[in-house]
Amino acid sequence: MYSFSKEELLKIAKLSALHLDENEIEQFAKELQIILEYSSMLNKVVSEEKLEAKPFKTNVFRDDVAIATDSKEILENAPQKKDTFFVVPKIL
Amino acid sequence: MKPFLTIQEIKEKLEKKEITPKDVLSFYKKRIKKYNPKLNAFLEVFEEEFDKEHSSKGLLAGIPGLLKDNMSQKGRITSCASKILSNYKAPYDATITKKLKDEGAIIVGRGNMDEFAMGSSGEFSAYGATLNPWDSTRAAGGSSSGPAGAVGAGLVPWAIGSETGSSVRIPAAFCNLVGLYPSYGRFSRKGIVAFASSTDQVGPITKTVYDNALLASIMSGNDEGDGTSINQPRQDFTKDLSAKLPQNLKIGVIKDSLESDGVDPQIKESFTSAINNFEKMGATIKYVSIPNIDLGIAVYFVLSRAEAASNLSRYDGTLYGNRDKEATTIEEMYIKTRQNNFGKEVKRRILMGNYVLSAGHKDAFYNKALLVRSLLQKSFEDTFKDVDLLISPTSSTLAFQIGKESSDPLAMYMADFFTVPMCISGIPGLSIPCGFSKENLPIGFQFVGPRFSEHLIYKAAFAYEQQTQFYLKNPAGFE
Repeated sequence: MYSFSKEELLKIAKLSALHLDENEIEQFAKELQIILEYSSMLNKVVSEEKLEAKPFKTNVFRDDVAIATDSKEILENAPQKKDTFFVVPKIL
Repeated sequence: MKPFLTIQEIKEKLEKKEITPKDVLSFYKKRIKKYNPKLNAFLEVFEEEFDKEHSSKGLLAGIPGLLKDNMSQKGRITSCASKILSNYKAPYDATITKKLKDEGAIIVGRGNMDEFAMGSSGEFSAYGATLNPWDSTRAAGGSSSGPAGAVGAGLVPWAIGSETGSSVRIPAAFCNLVGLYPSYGRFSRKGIVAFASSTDQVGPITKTVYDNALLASIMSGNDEGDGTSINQPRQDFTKDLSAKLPQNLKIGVIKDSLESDGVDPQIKESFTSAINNFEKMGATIKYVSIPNIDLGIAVYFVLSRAEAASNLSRYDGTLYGNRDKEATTIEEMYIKTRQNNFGKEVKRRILMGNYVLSAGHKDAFYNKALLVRSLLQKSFEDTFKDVDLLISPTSSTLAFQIGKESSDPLAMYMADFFTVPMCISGIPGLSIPCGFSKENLPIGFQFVGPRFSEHLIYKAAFAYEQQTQFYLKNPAGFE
């Protein structure tokens, strides 16, 4: 059985900027254990080949030119804004 | 006008002046109004589009269609069926949106989907599931649930879905439709909201192979705005489609299709008759094993969740989308915003993604998944030295009963056994109808080919469709 504890779940939740309620902790701990157990079948594959997944394309460059964008348009979707700035709760 | 017309049929009637563009719009306006409240395929209907004058130029002039709600339409909400983006308005058109509009397409709404395209049934939408037109106790299938439900019920003649593991082909199979997962990079993704970038692609959902090939042609071509877009010009996949199979076509049957216990017996039966049909049509049939295909789901679990965790870290309430207004510190803002606005499946995938990427687990899961992915890619490459195309059932189960499979995560994911291997290998697959179950539920199978083999796939699929014509059967209750 793959071991996945509630403590590990809480640690990952913190890294994911998610706060889980009691029900979610119960449910996710159980479900993730099942999915991780299933996924751990990958470890049975022993390959002599040191293959890396081949990217389909590499190094796609474009000319490095600045494109002017109207800041009004960018701020249109801001949850909170002031003049040309995004406003967030105090950081320091 | 009759319901369930194809794009090709509507175009012909418009050209012959049997109907006017106004007739087309008022016809679909009425159908959407009448049937959508029950189906829940549209998250929004653009009412004003039905009353406007539209351009009469282009391959899709006057033909209404639907885009899944993860595709940017300038000035419109793009919610991904998530609460977190419920008020987000796209500042520009996605490249494919623009290409479709440039050909005269009239986009009449935003299609329902699983939240951030995560799911196979459509039930993870924050706005409710889309019902299956063939059986309202079942799901249309996901994640492109709205696009498939709408085309399946004849509310629009075409729609564009997106697929990361199964999300175009599965709902197409569940709704008696044709759905394409293209070669990686075939269509631009600029303006499409990311879920797992190494497999995310868009694909057309239509009643017929010809319509599908037409939309694929329009969306093809290089886009500088997407670094993963392939460097090939626009194609015409509609040319040379004929009722005869391409000469000397060698078709490989993926052995698991018939041997695996996980495949519904009724699906095996329909699929077997498809194989027999191909033999009669003159194809050479070979039965082939694809080494490591049984690891596809595990590879997909790991990679898609890892990429999702990374892609969805941008939703933190800072720049766009909803924000928790109560928070007094920035950390609290991030956490509460995500906690209150993401649905269960999205959270579950983010958690798993960060777990398989975290110190101590990355080698066992993420790196191993990359290795197996490359082995699987090689399996397909080797197989295509012997056969031109592969076939298998699309889904291993019939359309999900609402509320049933989604409570058992593994069961639902297993339906994707035959679709995820193509996604992680970057190769195209086209689902097309091949029969019905005794409950009158549609069954689909898929053609799979090497990278960039879409034209060959469309030719083979068109010939099969002419022979079988399952697309002529429509669901009851949508007359």
